Amino acid sequence: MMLSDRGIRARLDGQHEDGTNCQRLVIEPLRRPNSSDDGGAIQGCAVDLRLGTWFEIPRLHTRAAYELDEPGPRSPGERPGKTVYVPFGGCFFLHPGNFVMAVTLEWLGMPADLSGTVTGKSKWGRRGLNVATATLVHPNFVGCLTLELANIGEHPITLKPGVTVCQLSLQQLSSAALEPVKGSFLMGHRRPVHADVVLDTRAAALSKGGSIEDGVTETF
Amino acid sequence: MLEKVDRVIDRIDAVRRGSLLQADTADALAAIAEHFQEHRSQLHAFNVNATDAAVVENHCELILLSLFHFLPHIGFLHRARHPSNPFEVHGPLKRLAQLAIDSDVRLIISSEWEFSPYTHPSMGGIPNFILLGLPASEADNALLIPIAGHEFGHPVWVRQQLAKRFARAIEAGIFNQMRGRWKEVSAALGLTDEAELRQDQRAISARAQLGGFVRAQCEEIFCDLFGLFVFGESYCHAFAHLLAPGLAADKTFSYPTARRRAEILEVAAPVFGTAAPAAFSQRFRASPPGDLFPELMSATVSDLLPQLIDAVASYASNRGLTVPGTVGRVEAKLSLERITPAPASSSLPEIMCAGWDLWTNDQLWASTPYLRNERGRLINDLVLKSVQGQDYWHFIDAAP
Repeated sequence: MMLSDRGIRARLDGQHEDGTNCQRLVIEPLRRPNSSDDGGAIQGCAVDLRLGTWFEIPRLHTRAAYELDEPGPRSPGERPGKTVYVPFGGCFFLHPGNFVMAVTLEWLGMPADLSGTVTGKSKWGRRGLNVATATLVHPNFVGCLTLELANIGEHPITLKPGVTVCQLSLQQLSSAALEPVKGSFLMGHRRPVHADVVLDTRAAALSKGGSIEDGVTETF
Repeated sequence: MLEKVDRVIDRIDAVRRGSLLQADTADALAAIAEHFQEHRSQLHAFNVNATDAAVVENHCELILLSLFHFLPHIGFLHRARHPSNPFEVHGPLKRLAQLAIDSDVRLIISSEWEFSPYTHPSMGGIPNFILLGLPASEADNALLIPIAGHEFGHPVWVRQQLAKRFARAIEAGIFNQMRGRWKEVSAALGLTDEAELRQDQRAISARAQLGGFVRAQCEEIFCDLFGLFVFGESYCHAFAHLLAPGLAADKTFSYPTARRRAEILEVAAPVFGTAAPAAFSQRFRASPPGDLFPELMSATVSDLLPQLIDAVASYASNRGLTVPGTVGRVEAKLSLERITPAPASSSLPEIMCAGWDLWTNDQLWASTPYLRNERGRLINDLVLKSVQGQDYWHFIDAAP
């Protein structure tokens, strides 16, 4: 069940719509301290999220290709991209055909019984900005959401930290999730983060062409 | 020489053209560039045939001095763009500096490839810029930001002309200490009569030299006390993180020993209405008994300590500064423990104290391995996100 604006506001107060207490949904900064004023961010069935101040630009000249089963970087020193900070008042120009990782300004804290879906804003989509491709936010997630921004339009796009860049809709789960998802090291970051690849034994087996016992790849 | 000046201007321009320069950094670079452009104009203005060669030579020496002086600063400004720096802190810390010092203060946060924090109260010739540079290996450690409190103290010391205010007390203190240990002093200086303490050139010279060191130590202690007042217990933690257990070989007379500085912070904390961490000074190696003159300096500084504490407290109160409050600190701590940024009602120093509260809690997230494993990074990100929240609300509230 998708939460309505009333449902979202209630969860931010740590309550269900019927007034019963529950785990609080965290989205910070959003509401003015000691106030319900969210600056119009909560509308219909979603919360507008703003563009954060950190970006990561791919370093094309140092990498031949990504392998989808290779371990990802685990520290800023291992970042395959160039990290830049754009303060409030600054801007980042995203040119057609270019891709950059960014973050939401808001820090999220998802309760165990809610999931989220990140989608773009039509005002940006119609200008050619694709905001996110991995759009599911798992229960228990904490941190800033990493956004995958791509300019698939014809004109350069000026990105300014603080602008509403995407929206988050929230879904009530049938029950609280038991544990954080694998790859929980993705959580609790303020900067864009690369997903480490969790060991996928089935994919590993398949990559060996079915000869998992002796490790020989059969050729035909 | 002209070529050297052109090269440094080109280098400054290259740094200025680099991406995503903070406004204060850009302005500092512009000011330095202007300084060298004036040198260049002057060199162009010299008439090769008519200008006295000595005048040209003197000016070239001035330029050389400028190069020696400013090149490390240019490097510092270059590194201010590095993504390891805690950029989120800049706005809130600058506003705190403006409250603590003056509204015209500019702040640049960068790093230095020296373990000793590279900190300058100002760049000579480019006033009002405070440079804060943590060791490069600690540049992204938000919990060390309280060290900035010490740097805020230096411009206060200068602007309030405290060296002048303490000069007489320092002179009298040294004289009294020398008289109190007359036997040792007379033996060391070859004096025979106590009256010679005032008249003999050796005594006068020794008193002047000791006075210079005591003045420098008083300034450093004032700055430590200022950092303690502004950042509370978090200043002590940051201080210990960088300096404990102290270096036995550290014999500079411009600073008291790290142990002595820690003891002074312990003494001052309750006077300011804050607290030092438990057994704080025990984290530092006790110094072996010193020589006569270091002991005289140390004793003089100790005698002046109540006045230094009072100077910090009265200045800070006049500027409207307060020590970090318990309520803001506890609220911030509770939020951070729940992996949520601190509320906007918590001040920057309160957030820093809360961050250290988490860091020093051995049981933090003990039952949650995936949080526990990333504890340091997670506290750092939470603290910086909390600070950025302050910046966010500052801009929202400031908008018409």
